[in-house]
Amino acid sequence: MKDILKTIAVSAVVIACSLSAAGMTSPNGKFSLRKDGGVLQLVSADKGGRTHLLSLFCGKAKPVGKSITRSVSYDMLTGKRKHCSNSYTERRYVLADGDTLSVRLYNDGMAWKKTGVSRIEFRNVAHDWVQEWTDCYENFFPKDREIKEGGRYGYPALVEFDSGSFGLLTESGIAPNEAGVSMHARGGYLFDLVPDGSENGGWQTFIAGSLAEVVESTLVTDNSRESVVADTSWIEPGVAAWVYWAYNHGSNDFNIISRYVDLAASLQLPYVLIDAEWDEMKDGKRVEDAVAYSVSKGVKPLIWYNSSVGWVDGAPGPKFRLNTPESLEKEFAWCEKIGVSGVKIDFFSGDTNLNMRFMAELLEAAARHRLTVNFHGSPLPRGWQRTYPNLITTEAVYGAEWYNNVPTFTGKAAAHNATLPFTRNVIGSMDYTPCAFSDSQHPHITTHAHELALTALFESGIQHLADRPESLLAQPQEVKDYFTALPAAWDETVLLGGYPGEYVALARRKGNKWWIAAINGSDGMLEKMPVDYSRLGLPVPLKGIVFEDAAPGSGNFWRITERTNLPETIDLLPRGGVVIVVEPS
Amino acid sequence: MKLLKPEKRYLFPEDFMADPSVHVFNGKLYIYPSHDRECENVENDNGDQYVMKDMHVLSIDGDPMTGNVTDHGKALDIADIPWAGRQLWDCDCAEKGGKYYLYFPLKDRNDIFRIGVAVADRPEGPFIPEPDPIRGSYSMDICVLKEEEDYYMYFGGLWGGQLQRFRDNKALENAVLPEGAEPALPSRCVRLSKDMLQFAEEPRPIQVVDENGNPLRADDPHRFFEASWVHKYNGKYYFSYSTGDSHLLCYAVGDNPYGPFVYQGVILTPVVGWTTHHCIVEYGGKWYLFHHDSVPSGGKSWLRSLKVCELTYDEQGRIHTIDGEGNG
Repeated sequence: MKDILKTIAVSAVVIACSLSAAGMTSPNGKFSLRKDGGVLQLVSADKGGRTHLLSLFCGKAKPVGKSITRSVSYDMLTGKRKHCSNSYTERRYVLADGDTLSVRLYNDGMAWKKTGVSRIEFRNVAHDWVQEWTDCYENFFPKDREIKEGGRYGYPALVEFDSGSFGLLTESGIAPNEAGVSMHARGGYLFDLVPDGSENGGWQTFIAGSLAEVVESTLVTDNSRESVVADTSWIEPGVAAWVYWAYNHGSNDFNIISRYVDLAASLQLPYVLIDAEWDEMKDGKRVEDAVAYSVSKGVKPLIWYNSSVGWVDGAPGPKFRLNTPESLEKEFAWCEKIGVSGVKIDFFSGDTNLNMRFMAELLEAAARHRLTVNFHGSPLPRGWQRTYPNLITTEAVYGAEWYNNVPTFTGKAAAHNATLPFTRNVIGSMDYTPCAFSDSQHPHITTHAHELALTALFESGIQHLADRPESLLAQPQEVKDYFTALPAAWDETVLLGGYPGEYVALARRKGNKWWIAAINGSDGMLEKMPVDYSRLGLPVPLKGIVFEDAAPGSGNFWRITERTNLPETIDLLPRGGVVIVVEPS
Repeated sequence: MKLLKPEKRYLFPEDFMADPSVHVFNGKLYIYPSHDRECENVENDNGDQYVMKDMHVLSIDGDPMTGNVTDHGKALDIADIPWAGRQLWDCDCAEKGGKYYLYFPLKDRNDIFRIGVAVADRPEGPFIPEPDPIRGSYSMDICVLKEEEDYYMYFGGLWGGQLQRFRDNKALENAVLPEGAEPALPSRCVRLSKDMLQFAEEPRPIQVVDENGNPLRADDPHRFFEASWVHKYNGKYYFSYSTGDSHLLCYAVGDNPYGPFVYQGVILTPVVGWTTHHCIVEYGGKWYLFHHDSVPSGGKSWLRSLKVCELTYDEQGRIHTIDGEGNG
């Protein structure tokens, strides 16, 4: 018996030694895991050499079995890329307390799963963009904020390393019996990654590479469970007319809703959203009337619910309709019967397992009744957009509705908009509700072309346009045609240039057409910004249309031109933008 | 649509104070709070644990979210009030003709709440109390609204506030708290005399009604309980109040000081602590909700701390509901 124990001990030492010597490597050889005492170090091999990106403090870790390599390949109905593929090397370790640590090195980052809290440190950081945690993930990502020891911060967290490469920490592959994780600051760039409540978290996920590699990454869905919905033929991303932004209480007014249905019909948008308070519809009308009117016009209606697990008292209704399995089944069956195409469910209460499990139940029940789901006032997407393809979008973003609430957004929107493509929108659809040429309660000072650019720059399976009918319909015909042709899910996404908070230029493809959108996040003029189209593979001559801001003082908002080639550089007004829609001629 | 979570500030961590009434006098914000004290009394529905004996006036230099807060010291002490029994609760202050009138509820020697007046030459006091309470006054939680040349006082509170002991301004043989579908007890409004020292009329009940004009029911969690406050926004009168045992701040809107006021919604969801009490003030073009909670005292409901945050309206003049952060 003694001899056997000795043999085991010796072999454990041998394996540990071989780990620190050889470690594990991602299939493409870019990332490797190095062991230094009780720390696993993620190292990236760049053009500029090897960079230590992240330390995972796990104590003594004994490898179990051999590392395995797997590849993933699947299609998405929503998101930045239709066909996704990746591969990873996985290794499992037993920790000193007997728990298992699983680590996967993907070709564009690392994911790991561990019981309880993970302690990590970002290494060699030059800059950071981190939001303070709130239960609905609606905050700004300021550059190089003061990270207060003891403070709680929310995913996704972006860092730029001294080497000039970037990393984005978030979560994926969460299961309905797990809880969301957030970052608790422990000084410097040391964080404890803590699940909310007593359940375990999902896979902690670190996307790493150039800005383009981070923005284009599909790691969050690559590392999540495959679809559990058999028939997805009915799930159709698209653009929606949306009453709430201009009329906060307009959804209790049949006449106002009708104007938005008519707007959608006129621009041939597939959807209209009937928002909060439809259960108190005035003038003897009912939501069934609004739904029927919408269906009669060929516009698919979406309706709103209060989840009734978060904000209830003082909150709008309908409430308490989804909270038992029986009432949920009955309600969604009714939605399907009267012709509703999807539901927006609002006001959750954070990352706890109670919320996660409830959200999974909502998605499953909605799928049974062919309803798409849009979660609002909710936790971040953590990969369920792949598992439940009817999860068509999620809020979890400080979006255009804040022009209704407080004056804060007016001065901050441009820089925030130029940060989101590098942060929140990397990890999944984002119901920011872009595009307002007119003003709500508090003005926007972004330009018309900036607002239009947001509709292609921001990815959301249902793209709710913020602006009111009279403003959208008063735009030039080319702009109206743009909305008619605008997709809400993409075959491919390519970052053309940019830097968080300053500017961004992005191209998205649907079929053989590209939508190229750029915005200026700053209050200064940006002139002759270089744009690299080489990865788009577009032949010349082209058939393209360019939407730019007219020169200030010209008396116009728009400068709309047709082109047969792409501009080599772009000029952007302060808080300005540009959109180019282009296809081979 | 959002349950707003604006940045909040604890205004005066040095001491436990509550029930803020705030006004701008001479361009500066002055706070008239209750001054909480540690107490040995058992916590009960009569509020015996709220044993305030004096009050201080605070002022803020500039922006309420960042400005320096000054404690001007003791402005009123029940030892100086000739008719005092016990429990100096929520007061309010009004300025007229360069004088400052502090209105305060206090139990007399028979343990009946009356409303007293004390006068000062400066907003920070000290205030010299009148020898007797206002004739015909009863109950507690004072708010005074200046409306051109007239001043209107709002008062009243249930349970320990004794409002259930009065009907039509007369004491009842036995207190009556309505139940179920019966109309809830209303707050009171009364115009003050020209000298600011008496009521100019009989106090009137003011109704909070639903959109069909029916008074809110006694079992409605949004019914009036205490902590009346009135402010004007876009030409309308906003009557706001605490719902007491359902722990909300709610509001209703009317077109004149006497109401009726049509119920609108919740201003603040529950805070940590039993009571919730507030005022709403405009300063520097922004609106602020002054309130309190019991977080710093570790949840002791009788040791409360003053807080402030910004308050915003939607395009129809509805107040955006703010998270009181008292639920989990």
